[in-house]
Amino acid sequence: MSTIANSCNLLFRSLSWGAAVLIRKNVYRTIREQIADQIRADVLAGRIQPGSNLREVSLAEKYGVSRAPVRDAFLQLAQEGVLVAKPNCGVKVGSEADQQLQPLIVELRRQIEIFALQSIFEELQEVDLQHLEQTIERLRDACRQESLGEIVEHDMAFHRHLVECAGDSDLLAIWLPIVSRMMLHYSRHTDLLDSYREHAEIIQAIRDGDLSTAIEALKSNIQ
Amino acid sequence: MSEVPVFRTMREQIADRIRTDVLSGRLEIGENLREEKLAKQYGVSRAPVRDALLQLTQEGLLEAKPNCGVRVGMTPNEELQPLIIQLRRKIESFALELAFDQFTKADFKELDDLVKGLRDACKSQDMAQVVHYDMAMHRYILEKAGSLELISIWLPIVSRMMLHYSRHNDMMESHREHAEIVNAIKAGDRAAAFESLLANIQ
Repeated sequence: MSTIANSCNLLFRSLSWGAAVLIRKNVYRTIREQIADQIRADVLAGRIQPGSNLREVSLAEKYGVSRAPVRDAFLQLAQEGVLVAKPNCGVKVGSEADQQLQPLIVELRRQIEIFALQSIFEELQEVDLQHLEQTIERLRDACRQESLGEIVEHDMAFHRHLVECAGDSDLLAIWLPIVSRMMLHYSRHTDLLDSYREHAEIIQAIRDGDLSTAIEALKSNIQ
Repeated sequence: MSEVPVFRTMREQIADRIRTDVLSGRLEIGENLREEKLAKQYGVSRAPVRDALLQLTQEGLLEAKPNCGVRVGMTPNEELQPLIIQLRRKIESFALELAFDQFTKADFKELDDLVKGLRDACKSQDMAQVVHYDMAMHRYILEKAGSLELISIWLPIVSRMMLHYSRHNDMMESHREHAEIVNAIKAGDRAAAFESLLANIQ
């Protein structure tokens, strides 16, 4: 797996001209981060089951990389709570998210994502909106096919894009461990396509320049 | 609920140590950290040091420079501070609520010891120790809440917080704030405990 440009363009504010100027910058991800992203997506999507053991060697072979970045990805995911490290005994996929923490997790996710939305609201550009729209088009297809794994993947990609656009890696680093502990309740939708509609409402409100509606739509999508 | 291990791995102990040194300013911003040197200093092999450095990089305390080692990160992001404070307050009051009825005499003793340690550190103006006892007290409440997951959510947040001891005219105020929290917990006074906890996080 080679290092590829992250599709999210981060906005950086340059204060050199007195006024805020937006500069687009591609962010490259290390091999460790790409492997961690892949495993996280597989776990959240249910492609890897809770409790199953992960082996450094076999994943290194699968991805065609050396063992070191796989090992580092394991460590990162263990800290995020996606994997559980067993002393001298490898790692396994963590058990189900802790039920009693869910109200807290929902609240924290809302605070972070609303903060992100507010700080980028004025600065979001057409290319970002188009990226979000493409993401939810894929989400819609996944909903139609009732493919839960892909639904999770595109759902998370949407929210992650908001968080990443809000600027620096600090916000993402706070958000990831929280979202990894969230139970995703698609069962609250009688129709899976509701998930698509909720995200479409967020984008529409952003397009309308209606911040408070966008915040409300985002809030009701996170539960 | 996840099981809380009694023993801390070498990596965790080293990470805790470096974290305290950074937050207290004993390690300066921009300072390069070398795996080999730290391993020698702590008398351990390089592997746990390497893992600790990686962990702290993810927590945001250290910065990795590609192919170029690790250095102590830049000052925390100013714009994020209001959010960071909100999140910390949410997490810690959630933990206090879970833990409130679980505290035993043994916990009171532990908490008293931490407050005493903080008092001595404040008196001698030893920043490293102040930070150590401050964090240890907050962490004690989180651990008492019984979920390891709370700690892993909390650490990346607290590492990005600017610790404003300068808001205290007198270092001893930090000690008094923590003593108030502990006293309220011991007295079983919920409202006072939450109020003093929230007031302490800013």
